[in-house]
Amino acid sequence: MMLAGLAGIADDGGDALLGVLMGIAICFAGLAGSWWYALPASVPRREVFVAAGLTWLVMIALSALFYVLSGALRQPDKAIVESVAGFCTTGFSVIARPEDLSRTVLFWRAGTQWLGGLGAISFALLLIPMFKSRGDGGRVSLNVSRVRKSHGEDDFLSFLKLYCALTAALVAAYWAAGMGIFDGITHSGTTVSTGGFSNYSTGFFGSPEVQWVAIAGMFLAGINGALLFKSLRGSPGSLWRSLEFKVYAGLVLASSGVCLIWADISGFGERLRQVLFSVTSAVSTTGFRLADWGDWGMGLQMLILLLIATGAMVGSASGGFQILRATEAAHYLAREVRSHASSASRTQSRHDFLGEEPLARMQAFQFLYLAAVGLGAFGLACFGSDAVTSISASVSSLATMGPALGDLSPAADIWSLSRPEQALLAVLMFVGRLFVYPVFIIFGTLVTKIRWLRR
Amino acid sequence: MSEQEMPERSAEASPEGNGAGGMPETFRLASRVKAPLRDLMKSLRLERGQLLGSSKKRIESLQMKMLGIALLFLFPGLVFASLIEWGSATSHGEVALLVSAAICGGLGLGFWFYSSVPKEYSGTEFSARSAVFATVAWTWLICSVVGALPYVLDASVFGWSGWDSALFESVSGFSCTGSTVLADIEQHGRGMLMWRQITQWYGGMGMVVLAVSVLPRLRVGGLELIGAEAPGDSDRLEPRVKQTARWLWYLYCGFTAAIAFILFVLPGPGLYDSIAHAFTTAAIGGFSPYNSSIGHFGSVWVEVVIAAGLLVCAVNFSLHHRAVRGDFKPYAKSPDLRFYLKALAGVFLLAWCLNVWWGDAGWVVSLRDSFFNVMSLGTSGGFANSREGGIGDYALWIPATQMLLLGLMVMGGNVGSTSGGLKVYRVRIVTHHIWRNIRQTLQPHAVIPIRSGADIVPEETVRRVLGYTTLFVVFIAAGTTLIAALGTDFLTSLSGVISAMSNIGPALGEAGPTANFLEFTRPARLLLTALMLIGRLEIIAILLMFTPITAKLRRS
Repeated sequence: MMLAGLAGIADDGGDALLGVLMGIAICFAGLAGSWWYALPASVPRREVFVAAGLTWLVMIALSALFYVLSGALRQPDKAIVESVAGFCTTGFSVIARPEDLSRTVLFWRAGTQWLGGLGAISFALLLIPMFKSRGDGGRVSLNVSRVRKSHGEDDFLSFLKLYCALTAALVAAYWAAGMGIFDGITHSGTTVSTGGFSNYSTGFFGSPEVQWVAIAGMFLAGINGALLFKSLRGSPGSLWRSLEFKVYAGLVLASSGVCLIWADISGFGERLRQVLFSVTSAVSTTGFRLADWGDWGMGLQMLILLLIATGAMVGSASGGFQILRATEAAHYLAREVRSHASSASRTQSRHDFLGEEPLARMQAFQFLYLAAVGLGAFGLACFGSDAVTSISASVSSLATMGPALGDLSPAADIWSLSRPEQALLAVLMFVGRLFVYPVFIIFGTLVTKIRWLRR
Repeated sequence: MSEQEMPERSAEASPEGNGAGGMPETFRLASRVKAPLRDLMKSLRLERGQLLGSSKKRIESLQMKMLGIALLFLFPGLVFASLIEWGSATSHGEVALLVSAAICGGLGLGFWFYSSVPKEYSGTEFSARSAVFATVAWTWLICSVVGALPYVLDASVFGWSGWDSALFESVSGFSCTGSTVLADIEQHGRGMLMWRQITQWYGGMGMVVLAVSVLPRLRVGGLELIGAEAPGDSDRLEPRVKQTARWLWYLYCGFTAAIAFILFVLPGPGLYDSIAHAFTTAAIGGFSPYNSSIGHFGSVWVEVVIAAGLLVCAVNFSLHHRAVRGDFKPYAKSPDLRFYLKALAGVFLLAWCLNVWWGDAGWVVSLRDSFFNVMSLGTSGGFANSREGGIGDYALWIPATQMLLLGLMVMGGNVGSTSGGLKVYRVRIVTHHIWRNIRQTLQPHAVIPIRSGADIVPEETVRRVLGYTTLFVVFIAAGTTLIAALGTDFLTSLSGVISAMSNIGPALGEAGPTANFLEFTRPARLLLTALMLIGRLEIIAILLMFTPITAKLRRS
């Protein structure tokens, strides 16, 4: 929240005063809130979900208010969509020409994504026990009990440090590659959070060096935070031992190779860079725009869409299905097929499994995700989008990516869509950012609370 | 015992006829090289000596026996089709059909006569289980290849240069899909077209066998779900499967006859058309001897009869069986059927509203065309009724309605019927599973079983259903990517793959009900051919098709 204040200080434009005032007000409200309400020693998990979800919503509302008051976006619905895209780290923007915005607003836009990314990582690592990583190669432990406060805070602080350090490193790298310091700060904020907002409507910077930095940044942002922390703390081997990382790196390399062969871009160096940029942007669900894959063959576009749906590693700010779950699903399928062939009903896999219960939950998640894609696509199609746009936009917003296929290929953005479509996409982004399940949990908990209150 | 002796004897019988003692060094080396190959042959039970009839003993092979029976089944169909072709005015393909009939009959007799079913195929251990899967899959494949013979032998249909198209058409027939690569259907002889219809009817018949004998072993479909016969353990299977298969076939033939009769009574379709469409309606296939499919008749009653026929045949046959015995309660009690009817009704109403809202056609025309096409796609049939003044071409409907149709296409019909798709049962289990998990997250200590009617679905079944559904989705995603990479647009690839996997027939986009699958490139059509078989045999059977061979190879 302090960032709202920072946003004001960053520039001496007309919006600065508003920013500073709002920042101070929010800070006071936050301080008062934390003063009045002491954190209980242990909280049921779903309460934490509700709290996190509501915090997200409040932040979105405040940010939308800021956009409206600052005059960047006059219509409240568009302001909400923009702040949802920000806090959900999606690279969709309703602003056709961000160049015309004041620096305060630009900074705040990037700031929402930075905060959203931080929120997403902590949400994934601390709140959803299924994704709880012990840092040893992305293995997951199941802790259905309650959130332990002290442990959580420890983790949170170390992630905050890592997140800030990564951002700072990226600022330096962008600056060294020739980007201005303001652009460097905002773009590193949206890179590290796999956000995808840019200050310019003309695509990503023309400089190859900057693009290489962005490629590296997006790749790093897709790595499991805990794993990255551990490998940076002096045991780089943990990264290489992780199956998920191997799959992640392999996926990036393999799909880049495929795109490299078939993508129609002149010049090998140019092609390599554009392809790597697009692939890392898609797989980390960042959503920076460089090459317009709408001009590529349909097969490559499908590949990009699958990459978006897969997403990067668990415990990163990326969205999508995420690689750990994809690999576990693959193991599961292999086991199923093998169990059909053999008499033993349960065949041991080479890799140890999550255990039956989280596996079942993962499967439920996977079908819920598909159902959400289907519903979202149907909704978008009801407003008149064609099939490829609605399906891919639904996938892309659920994965918090941004650009999709069809009318929403990187050359376009959602400002070209109608307002109900934008609103629907915002809902999908929010659902996708909370990894679908918690939305139901929050909803269910609220319903039971209301019932309880009535009684 | 004799089986173990066999290979040794045939190994000793060298080409020169020498005994083993005087075998030269080079020959020994050659035989060592040949050993894996011979094991492969053995795995297919095609011992050289036996095949040539040097041994009077029959070959113990389930595959050969089943293939022989299946080919003998095809024989009368081919003869029937060739007779029609001979008698029709535009006949030119009866020779092709007769030659195919001769090949088919000869092969069938040979396989049937020289093989016997081994006794070991009653247990549930590894070799037997996967052997059953493999047998069914291979039989289906080889029947499709033999079924494609008339198309390649008659140069005016596809000829030898169009072998892949012939295979596509044949597989589309035997898998009850109904996608076609014939540019102008009506220019071909009536007998050849009848053969197309008959292939689908045979495919439906195979489905019945599959439902009785194989799917219960997958524990994901078939009859044990209804609890009619509950085969489960396959040692109990032998006497019951015969009975079960028999009454299922009676039902199937009965439905075909009934549909043919009702169609014949109606003004419009004559005897030929009635029989031809009855074959593909009962099999939920979707082939028609006309370019505009059912739209050719332009009759609302024909559409109603076909839609009703499709719906009846998309319901689990064991429910019908109960009804024939006088017990109508299972219809009302079956949770699958209720879910299915609700889904169909829901999609129909939505499609109707959307068509009235966005289309120019009046609400009566929208009602007729929405109803027919929802039924046709929702049962995995794939008939089309596009005609002048109607809105039957759903490739022109708005995208939202098309999304609904895609959903229906993925779902398909019920288990234990001739319909394709993911099947209602699986869709229900998956939705229950999702709902259960949401509830469990809210109440972490709750144990919530999944119910199907009054019964609790075993967790093992739930696991298999989830696994199968995931596989289905993976195949659709991978298939769409590959087909798109081979040069087709997104909607056409996606709907084409769903159509092939669910055995529907027409797709959306470029390959809609008024078009054909020539819109896909040649390699893409081959891929779709494979997907049709994979979808029909429920993926697992195809994956296990090669396990007996690989297992034997690994052992050797």
